[in-house]
Amino acid sequence: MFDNWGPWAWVATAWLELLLAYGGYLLYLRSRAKRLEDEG
Amino acid sequence: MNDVRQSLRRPGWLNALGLVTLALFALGAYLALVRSPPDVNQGDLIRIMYAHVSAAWVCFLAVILAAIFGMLYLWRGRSIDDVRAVAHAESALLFAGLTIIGGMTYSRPTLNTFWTWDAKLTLTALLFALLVGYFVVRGLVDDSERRGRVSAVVSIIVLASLPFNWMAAEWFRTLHPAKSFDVSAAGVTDMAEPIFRWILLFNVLVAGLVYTWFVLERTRLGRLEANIVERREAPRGRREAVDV
Repeated sequence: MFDNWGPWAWVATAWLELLLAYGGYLLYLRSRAKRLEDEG
Repeated sequence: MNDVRQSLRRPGWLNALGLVTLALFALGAYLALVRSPPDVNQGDLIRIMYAHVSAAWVCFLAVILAAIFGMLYLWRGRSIDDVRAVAHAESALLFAGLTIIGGMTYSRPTLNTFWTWDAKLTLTALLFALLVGYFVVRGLVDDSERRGRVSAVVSIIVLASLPFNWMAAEWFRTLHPAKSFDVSAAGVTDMAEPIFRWILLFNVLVAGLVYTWFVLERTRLGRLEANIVERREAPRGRREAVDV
């Protein structure tokens, strides 16, 4: 499946992973803040 | 209710730091994806190195700081140290996951395999598993003091695995390349072209800033959570005292 991936497909995937991880953690922090607001 | 809303509002300086970090992240990505020349051996795949190595270094830093705050909690018993340890441990888990996934993405096109159970990769998987264990342990212990102490011990165990991981490529036979960048007593000895080194260092700085922002925000929320729990438990404590 990955044999015909060019170098830029791998580069884009690696940087996308970074964006997804940072974005995902931000969403997680936001959900904690929201829960605090609801509980408080 | 209004009190909680007000204290939940993020301070201006933290918002400003977030914006600066975002701008620097965009600049780091531009340097890595546009300005960096292709490598003689790896070609454009070298651009993955900037994301992968910076995540790995920040992961190591987060593990060290989580253990330091764990030790401080064991020593002083102040709940803020536990809150800080958790904030660093969460980031350590995030960056450890990124290091593994990024490493697999880098490894497939350069070494023709996603994964191999050699020393470096196995130790990184162990690091990730220990960090998951840190949070499993926290979820299993109800008493907050005991939870803080037990998880502090786990964070020290995670720290103990770090030197082996750091030196694995030198000490053991592994597919993982040896460090391409070495900071020795004689100064910075790099085995790569200077432009690769500077773009890497810039991206390490950006990942460090992202990590700092995450930890500051997570600590802020953790303190508020601890305050709410304390406030909720205080009347119960008084009720129990009255019952006795």
